[in-house]
Amino acid sequence: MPHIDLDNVDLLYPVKVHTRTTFKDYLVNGLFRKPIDRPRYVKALDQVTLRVDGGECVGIIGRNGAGKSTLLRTIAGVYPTSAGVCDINGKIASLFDIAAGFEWNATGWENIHLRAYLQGETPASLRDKLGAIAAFTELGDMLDLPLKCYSTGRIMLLSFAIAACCEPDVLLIDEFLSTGDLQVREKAIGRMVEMLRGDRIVMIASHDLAFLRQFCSRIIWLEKGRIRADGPAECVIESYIQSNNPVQCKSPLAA
Amino acid sequence: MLREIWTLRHFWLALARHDLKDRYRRSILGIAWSLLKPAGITLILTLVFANVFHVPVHEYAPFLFLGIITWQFLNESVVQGCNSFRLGSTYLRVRPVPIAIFPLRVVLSAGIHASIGLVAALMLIWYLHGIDLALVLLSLIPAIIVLTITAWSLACICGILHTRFADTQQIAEISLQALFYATPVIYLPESLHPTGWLYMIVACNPFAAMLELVRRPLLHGEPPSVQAVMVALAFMSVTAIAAWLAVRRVERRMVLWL
Repeated sequence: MPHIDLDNVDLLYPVKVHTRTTFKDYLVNGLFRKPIDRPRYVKALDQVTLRVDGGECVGIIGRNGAGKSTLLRTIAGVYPTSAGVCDINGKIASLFDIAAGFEWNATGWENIHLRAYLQGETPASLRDKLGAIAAFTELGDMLDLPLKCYSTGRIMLLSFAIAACCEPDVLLIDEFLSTGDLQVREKAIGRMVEMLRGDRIVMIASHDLAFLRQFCSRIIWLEKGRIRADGPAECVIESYIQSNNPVQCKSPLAA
Repeated sequence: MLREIWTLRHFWLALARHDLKDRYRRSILGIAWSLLKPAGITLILTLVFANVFHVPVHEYAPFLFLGIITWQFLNESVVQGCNSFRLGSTYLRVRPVPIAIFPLRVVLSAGIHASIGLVAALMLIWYLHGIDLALVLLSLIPAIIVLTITAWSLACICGILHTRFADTQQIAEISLQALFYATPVIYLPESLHPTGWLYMIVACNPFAAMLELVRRPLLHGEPPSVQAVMVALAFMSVTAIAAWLAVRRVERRMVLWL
């Protein structure tokens, strides 16, 4: 059975502005003995400890910049931890960024192959799944067109289809389903529920509280890289709403 | 690291295949275009330099053609290699993969491009002089392996530098331009004066050695000089070890810098 086990995980993220210099700067600064601009870091995850077991659908909430995406990417193994232990058991598929992991000039078919191979499929194992992926996307002949011709919703459906058909044990979703129309969402959600029945793990970061309330049994609330609350969906969402109470900070829309 | 790269082979092969398709899709002539450019340069330069160096055209043209396609392969690997991690960052954000596959993708695409030229060169030489197929295969296969490993290593190193220093590609281009003149691509190594400084540079230049690995068996029907083999192997080992260490050092953290 798959599980996710994070123990006191820290993640230091370099501030982008300082990451890239030029050799020319290096040379000039060296000549005039100016101190070289050291990169600065922000603590994107701060002592995060959590355990998720198979069959759980976990929602992640928090304000912008609270570390929701960072947490998912750390679980996916994309980001290296600075401290702590990250123990993940199971094959992971991730849906983070609509634009990530595709070649825009390649056709839908080519992208299906690329993305599936990236997730560890082989030509032999993929052959039987191609039909299912194509059917799920409902793209039909559109699959022969380059990806740049697709709408955002269609690209979302395509990546969802590939991720789901490669049978992952853990599915990580970052604010992804909101781009699809009602029908697309229903379809994706149906597939997620199916996966949960098979004792798999789904983790979703989202701002859509109604959606999370409906599908997640458990919610993790992140604030400034720390876990502020972790528990049953209703309780956590309720206190999250309380803390963001719009009555206290007078909304310009209310005026 | 190498095992992970091997298990992901379907992925980077598909990427390289896509790069080639994309490259040839843009021109009506398709694959013929990859021949037309080096062939055109060879034609023009042969007309000029066969006169300058007083060598017969049928000897100079294959010499130049082999030099140009080999040089283009190394040049393209280094220049494109600079950008390889930025191009690959879109996949690094989806799942952790061994980063060395992205320079490899660039080298493969450049390599296939160059092999088309190589096949054409072989046919030209066979037509003009005839070739000893056993010797050619026996010497060309190791030469291609050495060239590929060197190009891959250089692409890794330049790519890593480029993620930290934004002007790496410009510096690489200028350095390659300088190196081009220190490498007997256009001029014949025999035409240099054995006591001159350029002769010494060419003798130690690993790029000159790699050209020798390709040219000597094809043009003269004899194995490459021991000196060239030593220089090429030494350079390959040094760059491969440097690339290995550099990749291992930045592998996990690279995604944060892209």
